[in-house]
Amino acid sequence: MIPLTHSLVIAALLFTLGLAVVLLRRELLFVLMGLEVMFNGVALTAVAAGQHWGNADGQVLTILLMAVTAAELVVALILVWLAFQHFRAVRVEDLARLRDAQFRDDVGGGAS
Amino acid sequence: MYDIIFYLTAAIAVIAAAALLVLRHPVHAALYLIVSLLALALLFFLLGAPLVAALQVMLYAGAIMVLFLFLMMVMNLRPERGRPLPAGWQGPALLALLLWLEIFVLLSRSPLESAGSAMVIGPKAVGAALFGPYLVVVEAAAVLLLAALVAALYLSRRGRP
Repeated sequence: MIPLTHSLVIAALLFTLGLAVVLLRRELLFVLMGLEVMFNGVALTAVAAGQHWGNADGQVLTILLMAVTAAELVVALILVWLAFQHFRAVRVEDLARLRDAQFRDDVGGGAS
Repeated sequence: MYDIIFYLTAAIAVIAAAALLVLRHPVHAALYLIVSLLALALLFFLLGAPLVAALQVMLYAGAIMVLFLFLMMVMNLRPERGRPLPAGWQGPALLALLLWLEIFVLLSRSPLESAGSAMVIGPKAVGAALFGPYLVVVEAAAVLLLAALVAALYLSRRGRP
């Protein structure tokens, strides 16, 4: 039998890996994939804890988390597609239209 | 044997998630993400949650990855040239590693070590909990999905000004 601690460590590893993907990769699609990995770490935490205490609440939480993830991802993917359609933006740096013009001159040309 | 399968599957899930950090082509990254999600479904099954495992395969590896692949097809992305990681990647990576090490140290000293036997909580118990005390949350999820549907239809409408 797997102790709960090991499951939680694996879930934490998945969560931090997803966080690293969100922080480090600059493509919009990769940011969304990192979010998926983070969600999966949270789901593993909920399921492992629910199984440890013999409770169905962890699985209920995971099912609701899947619904929330699907709703979030649909809207986010359409926004990524619209950003690509309107601005030809694939990376996060391309979406810098709200940046101050003074600051843009300082750093040298905004999106490169 | 059970332990070997569990840890091997966990290693596959983690390595496939880590591959997202270094891959350049988005389709390759999507394939690794599918592998990670399927490995996680097997982990759920091994933990004794067959309903969530089946839903993981259907929803994540089925529906959500189809959305990702459709978007990649529409956008016709080419792989990035140059290094995939931006300059100054060491700082956030070090912080993420420290975060995991903190959780690892915290959990390795926790008193949760009492190991029972593998207990299966089947779909019947989950359904009873889902439509019993958590009925309001199910209604809230339905409203959220309706809102997401309206947002998707609005954002993808034709003939925008």
